[in-house]
Order: sequence, then structure tokens, then C-alpha cells
Amino acid sequence: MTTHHLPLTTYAPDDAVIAENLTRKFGKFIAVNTISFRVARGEIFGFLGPNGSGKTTTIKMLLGLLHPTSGAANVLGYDVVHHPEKIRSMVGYVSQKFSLYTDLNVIENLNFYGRAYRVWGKQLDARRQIAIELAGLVGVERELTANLAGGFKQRLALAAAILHEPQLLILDEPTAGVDPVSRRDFWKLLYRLAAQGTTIFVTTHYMDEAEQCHRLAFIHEGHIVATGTPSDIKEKQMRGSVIEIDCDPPGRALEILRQIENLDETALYGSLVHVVARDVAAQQPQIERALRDAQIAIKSIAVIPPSLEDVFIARAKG
Amino acid sequence: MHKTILNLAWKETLQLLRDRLLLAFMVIIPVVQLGLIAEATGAGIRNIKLAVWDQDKSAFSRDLVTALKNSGDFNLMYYAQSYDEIRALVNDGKVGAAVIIPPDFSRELARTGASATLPVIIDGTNSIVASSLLGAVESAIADLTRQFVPANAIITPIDLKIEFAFNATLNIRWSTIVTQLGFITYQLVLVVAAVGFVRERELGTLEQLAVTPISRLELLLGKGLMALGIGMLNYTLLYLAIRYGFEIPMRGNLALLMALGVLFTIAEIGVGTLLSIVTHSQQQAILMVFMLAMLEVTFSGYLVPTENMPWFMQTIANFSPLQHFSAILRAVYIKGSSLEMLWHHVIPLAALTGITVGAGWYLFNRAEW
Ligand SMILES: Nc1ncnc2c1ncn2[C@@H]1O[C@H](COP(=O)(O)OP(=O)(O)OP(=O)(O)O)[C@@H](O)[C@H]1O
Ligand SMILES: [Mg+2]
Repeated sequence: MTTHHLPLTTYAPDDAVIAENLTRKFGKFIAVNTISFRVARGEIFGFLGPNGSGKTTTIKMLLGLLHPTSGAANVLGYDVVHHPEKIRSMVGYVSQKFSLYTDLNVIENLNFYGRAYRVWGKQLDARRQIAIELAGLVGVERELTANLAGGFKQRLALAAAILHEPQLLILDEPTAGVDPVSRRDFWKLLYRLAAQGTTIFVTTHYMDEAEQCHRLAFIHEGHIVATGTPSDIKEKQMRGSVIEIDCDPPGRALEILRQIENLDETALYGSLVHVVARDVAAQQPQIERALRDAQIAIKSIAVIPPSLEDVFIARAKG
Repeated sequence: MHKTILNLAWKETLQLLRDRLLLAFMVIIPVVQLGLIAEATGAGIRNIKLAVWDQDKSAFSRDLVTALKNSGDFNLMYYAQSYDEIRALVNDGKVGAAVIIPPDFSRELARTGASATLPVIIDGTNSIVASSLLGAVESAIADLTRQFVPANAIITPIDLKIEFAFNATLNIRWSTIVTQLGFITYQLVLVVAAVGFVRERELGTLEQLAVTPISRLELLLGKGLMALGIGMLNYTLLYLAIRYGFEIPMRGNLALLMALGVLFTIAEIGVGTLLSIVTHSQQQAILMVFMLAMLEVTFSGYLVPTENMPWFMQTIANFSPLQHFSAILRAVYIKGSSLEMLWHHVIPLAALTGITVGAGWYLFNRAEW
């Protein structure tokens, strides 16, 4: 496998995806800016980032739907520019926007996509049945896809993407807009697939989902600003400590704190204020003084372990 | 590969069957268009007033007149005594048709192996009526001939010498209807092909297709096969309607008419596919179809004969598949032309087919999904 047009000197057989200085411009705008990362076979890889940060653009390059402006990527041993057709039969893709045929019913969609991936006859029947059961679509087989609820649609899209037993499954915000219970069920499904050896590349906005990934990359304005396991990111990649303040009114507190120099980051989490400080010993008294001077009552103030979101917000600034 | 193409074509068929708008378009357009033309040219051929000038006055000629009377299509109104009288009856609109039986008609017919000529004058103002009349006269005479001639004899058809009283250009009216065969097929195939890709791009489903192992060629062929199927189904049904509903006699070779229909349909699939690739929405694609159709209808010779156009328009007309196919239809269907007589239209049509399909393929291959 290592012989097929490898621009990447470092390819190893247990890599599912390698991106090296991958870049894509739209006109002058750089949507993805020299990003590099690796996904190992068998892992659940979370690709995180705010709206418009370049997640979908990156995925489209991995699938050969968009050509990189520069840089290279390798998926399952094949270069994405030169051999996209070799990659396709080994990859399943659930796009951000639901894109199965809404005017076909569940079975018709599954049959069509199964055959599109060259799964025929008895094998198709068997795998379709498994996928229907796995994805919890029993009972809606003859339902027109347009009439399915959001959660069902997502699971149908997943079912259609796994009929050919792909080695790599790429999911672009598969749970966006789906209720929490359905999200949890969907992730259980992903875990089952991962347990069967499928590599999973998934983008998400949800931090609770990010926590469930084996490894993460955080992309911001086209740059990757942090990578690693969730715990690694939380423990090692935070420059500074997070001080959590419970005070009243928090909105006014935020305004006051933003006027203090040397505070890396201030953000509101519900009614709690998070502040990132590099030197807690010096800065915590400074914060308390500022709030007291502004007549803001502090109910509690403490240093807490950073959440993923704290790290990402901090890294996005830095 | 063929299984993949069939899978695509089947998917398209399922979708088509659920697309009420497109289905309605497929059924309503041909019905309305043909219906309007039938209405405009009049319909109904029962009880046509008939005049007969029997110069033969034999037992056979009397049988012939009886047969015409009994056919149910005619109302025998006048026994005329001269050609001038006959002409006057037709010219004044007192009869719709007149049959002139020559003095030696039965003797001519009786001579085995020879054919007799029977002049018929038909009021051609109304082409539908005229063509039906012709059929009625023909069948009445054919029935009679079968009785008259011994069963084992070779039946020589009576040669009807037809004269159209008011409308010497009945062929133009026939061709109006026959040309519809091309027009309606054209509209339908162009719309189906033009929305083909842009619709899937708009809905986002094209991207999902693109990541499957289906190749671009297979995709193009799958969609093309579907459009060809719809086009040819429509073409065949229209042919049957024109041939048996309007009773316009087909003089040419049916296989040739069908084969060239396939060629034309493929050319239009190529054009539609091109539109589908260069546009960004279904709405845009449909608008382009309308613009193109207006141009092509103008150049097709339907409104103004192509020969009467200025040279630059004639040059442009050469690039219209519809222009070539309209000419082919008229020639094959009405005049019974053979392939050898049509090369000057068939070769440009084939070339245009090659160009549109080739250009569609080229652009489709270059486009980013
Ligand atoms: N075809 C295009 N032409 C021009 N700009 C584009 C195109 N596709 C994407 N962009 C821009 O590139 C940036 C990255 O878009 P992308 O879709 O990759 O973001 P994303 O991380 O997937 O965002 P979201 O979470 O909203 O899906 C955005 O600013 C977007 O507007
Ligand atoms: Mg996106």
C-alpha cells in the first residue's frame, strides 16, 4: 500500500489519514491554512472548531471533492488528489447537510447506496438488514425519507454510509440539531462501529462529544491550534489557570474584568465568569479588589481544572 | 458497470414516479399541444358530404358508390354530370369530397395486373378532415376490390389520384402535426436532462453521489439512459397518436424514423446536460431551456421555412439539432425519404450529437463537485 503516489515521506500503514500543510483558498480567502494532522487506524478522531473555521472544507479535501490549493493528504494509503477513486470504496461519508434522497423511502435509499458501493444481491439484503437494526430504523423501512424526524434521518444517513463496511467513516456534524437523547444513542453507535475496527473522523460543536473522542484537533480560522487526547489538551495545553467566579451581576463583572490588563481571557459560562490568569497568586487579589471596588458581590472564587472549551478559547486567542 | 448504470436509472425512475410536477409536465404537454392542434384544424369526419360523377356506369362502379355510402363516413348528396359541376360543388363548400369514376374504370381494373386510377377531389382546407377522408375512400375501395377480384389473384391497388381543392399544400398542415413529434420530445428531454445534475447539486445529493465509487461516466450514462427512456417512450406514444389518432399516413421506414429519433434525443440530452452543468439552480436551467427553445423553434423552419431565411440565419440554423430533425421528420414521415436522401441532415445531426455529448462530458469531468 505504501507505493501508491505518496507525497508523504512519513506514511505508516497504521495511519488512516495524514494531512500535511493542507491549504485551500477560495479566491483570496484562506479557508484552510497549512494544517497538518494524523488519524491512526481504529481511533475516534474529533475535529473541532467554531462555525466557518474550515472543518467541512478539510473533509471535502480528504474525500477528493475539493482540490487542495497546496499541501497534501493521504487517506488509507492513497493520495487524495491522484487516487480519490481508490479511497472512495473504503470510506463512508455522512455530510453536514442531510443528502440522501427525500423522495425515496428508507429501503430504496439503502438499496441505491448499497449498490452504488457495489454491494449486490444477497449480501446487500443481509447488510441492509443489519444496518437497519443497528441504526434503529425497524418499522420505518417503507417510510418516505422526507417524512422522517431529524434523529431518524441522521441514523439513516449513517446506515447508508456503512453498508459497504468502510474502514474509515467521516461524519460532518452528524448530531447538529438533534436532541440530547438521540445524540447519546448516536454516539453509542459510533462506539460500536469503532469497536469493530472502523476509524471514525467526526466533527462536532459539542464539548461533551469531544470528550468522548480518543484524540482531538481544534481548528480555528483555518489553523489547527491544539491537538491531542482530551485529557492531554486539558492538562498540558493550557497556558495559565482558570479562575471561576460566581458573582452578581456577572455581566457587569465581565466588563470590569476586561479592563484589567494581563488577563488572557474572560468568558461567561451560564452565570459563571471564567478568567484565564498566568499568575494566579498575583492576579486573583487584583480581580477581587476590582470587583469589590465596583460593588459586585463575590459568592465564590476558585481555581478550577480547565474544560476543553477553556483551552480552545484560550488557544484561539493565542 | 452496466449494473451501476441500471441502479442509477432505476433510482431516477423511482424519483420520477414520485415527481408529480414532472409527470404532469410529461403527460399534459403532449396532450394539450396535440389537442390544441387538433382543435385548431378541426376534427370529426362522420357524414362528410360527397359528390360522385360516375362516367363508367358499370355494375362495379355502382358497387363502389354503394360501398362509399355504406361506409358510414359519407353522405352521398349529389350525382354530378360534369367535371365543372363537381368543381363547383367542392368550391362552394357544398361537399367535402368528390369521386370521379372514369369511363373505363371497371375495364381497367378487370385487366389482371393493371391498376386503375380513381381521381378524388378533397376539400383540403382542413387537413385532419382531408386526411381522414382519404383514409375512408381508400378503405372503402380496398374492401370492394377484395370482393371483386378472385381470391387467388394478385390484388393491385387502385391508384387514387387525389386533388386538393382549396389547399394544395395539405402537406404543410400535415407537417405541422408531424413536426410536433420533434418539438414535444425536444421540450421534454431538454427539461429532464437540464434539471438532472443541477437538481442534485441544489439538494446536496450530488456530493453524496460523488463520494461513492460511481464514476462520472457511469453517472452521466445512468442519467442519460433515463432521459433517453423517457424521450423515446414519449416519442413512440406521440407517433402512435399521430399515425392512428390523426391518421396521417406514414410513408417512410419506421425503423429509420425510430433510429433517427434516438440520435436526436441523445443530441438533446447532450444539450440538457450542458445546461445542467453550467447553471447553478434548477430555475436557471429551466430559464435557459426556454431561451434555447425559443431560438431553436425560430430556426427550425416551423414558423418561417428555413430556406426563406437570410443566409446568416440559415447558417445559425445549421447548428440547431431541432432544425435538422424537423426536416428529417417531414422527409421520412410525409415523403417517405430514405436515409440516402437525408445525409445532409443526418450527418450534421450526428455531428451535433457528438459535439454536445462531448462538450457535456468534458465540462462535467472538469467541474469540481
Ligand atoms: N465554495 C466556497 N467558496 C467560498 N468560500 C467558501 C466556500 N466554501 C466554504 N467557504 C468559506 O470557507 C470557510 C470555511 O468553511 P467551512 O464550511 O469549511 O467551515 P466549517 O468549519 O465546516 O463551518 P460550519 O461549522 O459552519 O459547518 C467559511 O468562511 C466559508 O464561508
Ligand atoms: Mg461545516
